Amino acid sequence: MGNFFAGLEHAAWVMKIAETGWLYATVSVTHYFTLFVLVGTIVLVDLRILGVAARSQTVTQLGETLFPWTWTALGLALLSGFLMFTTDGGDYYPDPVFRVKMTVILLALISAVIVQRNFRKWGQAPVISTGAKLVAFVSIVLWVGAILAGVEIAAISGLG
Amino acid sequence: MHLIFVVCQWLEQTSIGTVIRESLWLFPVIETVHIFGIILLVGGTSILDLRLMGLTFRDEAVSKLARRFLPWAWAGFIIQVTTGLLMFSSEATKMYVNRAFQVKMLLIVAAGVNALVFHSLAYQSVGKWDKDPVAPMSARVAGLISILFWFGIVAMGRWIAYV
Repeated sequence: MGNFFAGLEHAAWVMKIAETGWLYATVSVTHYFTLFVLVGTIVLVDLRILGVAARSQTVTQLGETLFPWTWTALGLALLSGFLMFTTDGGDYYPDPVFRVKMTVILLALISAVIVQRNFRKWGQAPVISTGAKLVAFVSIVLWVGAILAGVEIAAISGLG
Repeated sequence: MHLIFVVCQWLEQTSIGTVIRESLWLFPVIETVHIFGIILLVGGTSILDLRLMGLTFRDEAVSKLARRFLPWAWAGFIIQVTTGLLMFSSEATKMYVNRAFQVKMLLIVAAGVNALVFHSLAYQSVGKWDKDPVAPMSARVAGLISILFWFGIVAMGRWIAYV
């Protein structure tokens, strides 16, 4: 796997991204914008489940409005993230901080899927269950962790 | 030497600037808070901008949306200034010559001027068009300029790392 990603760095289209300053920066800015939509919409629904924000709307209303944006943003975040990864895959792949980030994102996405599958049911209940609130809380913590890990890749490992 | 540069040099060698620069965790933690602050600030202003442009929340009164979302935007703004200053203090002289940072600061001033002009002119007559699905031209233009400036500010913020 590591060898494959190291080899991918030399693909013509990958080298084009890596060597064109504005192109790489544009991909990075895209990644940045998609993460705001992805994390912003998820955290807003989580805060609503916790009863902290957007209380004028039901969990069902809020989820139905925001989740299409969430999944669109996820697609673009994965795409832009993968493009940045390919430019230096040989270094990213074995990097411990990068692996922490990927693990935290995987866990955060599992919590997002749990919320996506249950939010209508949770929204109908007269009182939102403690279990639902726990999932929402864990989700927020995981997304904060995912962003922190993303920033730490540059700080600790000097990548990106 | 330019006064601003002297201030930058001073900031960098303060204990706060030094501690942030030398820590592997402080800068990333502050940056993470800054990122969530962007969601609050730009999320809040963008909702209002899109409403002014007549693109979303057309059935909600403009003044009602403003009352609901501007406090969040202001909270976000305070977080941004605080975390931004902390990060700046750790690498002030580097930022002083960074083109993306310079453009970002100019855009912030421009966004502020745009908001000020909007509030002291178009928004004064909001009572007349509060419930109109599409606001008057001057308000629509202010909304468009605002959203472009804020997105530019965020983009330039990320671009700082690449110049």
